[in-house]
Amino acid sequence: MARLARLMPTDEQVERYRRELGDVLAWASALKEVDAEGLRPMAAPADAESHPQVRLDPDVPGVMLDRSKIDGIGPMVDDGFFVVPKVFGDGGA
Amino acid sequence: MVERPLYQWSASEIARAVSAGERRAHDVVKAFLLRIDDQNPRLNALRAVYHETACDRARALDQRLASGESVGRLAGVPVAIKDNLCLRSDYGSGDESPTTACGSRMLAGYRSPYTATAVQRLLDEDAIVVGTANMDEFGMGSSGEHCHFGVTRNPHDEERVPGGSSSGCAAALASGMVALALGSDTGGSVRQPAALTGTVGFKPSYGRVSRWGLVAYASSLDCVGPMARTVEDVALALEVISGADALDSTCSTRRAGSVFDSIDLPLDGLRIGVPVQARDEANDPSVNAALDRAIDSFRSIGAEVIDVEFKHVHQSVPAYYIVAPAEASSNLARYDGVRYGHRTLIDRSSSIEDLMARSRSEGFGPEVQRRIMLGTHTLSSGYYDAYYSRAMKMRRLVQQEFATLFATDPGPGCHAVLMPTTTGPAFRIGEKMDDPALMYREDLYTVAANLAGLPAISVPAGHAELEGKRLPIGVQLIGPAFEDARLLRIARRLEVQLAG
Repeated sequence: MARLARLMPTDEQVERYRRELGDVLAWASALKEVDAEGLRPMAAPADAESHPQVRLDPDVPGVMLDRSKIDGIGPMVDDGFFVVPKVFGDGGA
Repeated sequence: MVERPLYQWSASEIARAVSAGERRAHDVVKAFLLRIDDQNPRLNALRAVYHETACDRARALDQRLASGESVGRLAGVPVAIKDNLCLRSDYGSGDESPTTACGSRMLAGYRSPYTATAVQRLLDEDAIVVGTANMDEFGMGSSGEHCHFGVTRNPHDEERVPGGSSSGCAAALASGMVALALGSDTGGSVRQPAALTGTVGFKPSYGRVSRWGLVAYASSLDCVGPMARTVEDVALALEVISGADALDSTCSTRRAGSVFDSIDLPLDGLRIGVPVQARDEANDPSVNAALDRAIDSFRSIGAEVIDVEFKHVHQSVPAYYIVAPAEASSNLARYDGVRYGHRTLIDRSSSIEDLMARSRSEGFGPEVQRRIMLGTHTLSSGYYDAYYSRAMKMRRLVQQEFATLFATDPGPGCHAVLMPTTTGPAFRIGEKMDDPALMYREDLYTVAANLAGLPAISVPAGHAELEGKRLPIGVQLIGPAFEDARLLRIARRLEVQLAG
């Protein structure tokens, strides 16, 4: 699970998280006792059924921020590009 | 009569006095900054204080007033903003250039290139941001203890938590460091700390206030919410920050209308529903007493108070703790050590997976990592139906239960539902840190409004006497979607009646 979440807990943390998440999931199992048959899952209050007045914009790309300002945010940027280790192969910075 | 110190004035009193030329904005801001210098070292409510910037802005405002220019509706009001609301880095210069860190090592030093819409709207009305308020990391916490920049303490008892996640906003208001604050509420993060500090916290309807510039935790639940010491101030702030925003497509285009000016309009035929489940066995006796006090207050103004059923209040909490971490695990995937925030030191043999996992493990605190893993688990193949899908159905059920309570035919036609905000007064620092499931139950009464997208407010309703300290207790009112203005009028009526 930690690998899927891109986290690297220590062995000690793994044990702790395993116990705590087990407790939380056991507690969340109370949901299984509720009769939810026939209910439409609700992902957000903004769906048409709850609040039809919330708009959905057309998906049209637009310029939001000056790129030069965004470059300053990344922890390692070179000539307008974010610097990452080699993505394919055996690594390498 | 001895005049109250300026730091005790409400936001609307300050704005009125500054606009009328009765007080200089600079004097107001100086008074609050002095109070911050006195209180903040002990309480750790504000992570950053903008002394020079705030004074410069106040002086500029005074000059505009002196030259006869009109000023905004929040003229000279000292404001704190939660550390997850973006404030452009050029708001102050040098040491006072703001960062937006979300209470996290991950974003420590992050300088935002833009300002959140809600914050900008306050600034456009001449409010003065004097500080950035501490919070539980990324909004994940109900105590103010999960913060990279240290624990925030409750001004009513410094051995106790102020609640969370808008911990710093609540502590700053309760101690007179600011007159107004902007927090955010994903599962009670504005209302619960308000209740534990004797302040007022309002979560607007989902879509009432733009989320642009609010760092995402759980996007379908997150709301920007005003906090203050009076309902009137919260109404003023809501009126300023609400309304359509081209930068947030989930923000409603429905006109916000008058909130502040209509706050004292009469409420005829008021009907308040009190769920029988609101008297949970977990409640401290002081909570039930506060609830009774609120019921008596409503009855004394001629309102009809009726018992109603809210059967799934208990199940709303696990539903929330499935939905919110699921969304968080997706939203927080953006923190990868590449585009934002903390990046681990790597050597030439490191892979991109190493870079991401190590950066995230170093940057996120334990509670955030716990929720990310919980969300990753419940969204994973094989568990999605058992947890996430079921939680979304539970969410629909909660929404339908509220809709029934507010409906007139069939239904009791409640204008608001009255419940406790918390099950007890502020707890001791460290008391619930080792038991996440126990800490999560702190949100018993608050998460339902977020799941259903409804407006909800916590109003002070008394105290618990504990170990020689008077600890505030709040009650909560929840209203139908987009009836924010009426809900605030109801809350105002309760506040006035309780004060009398």
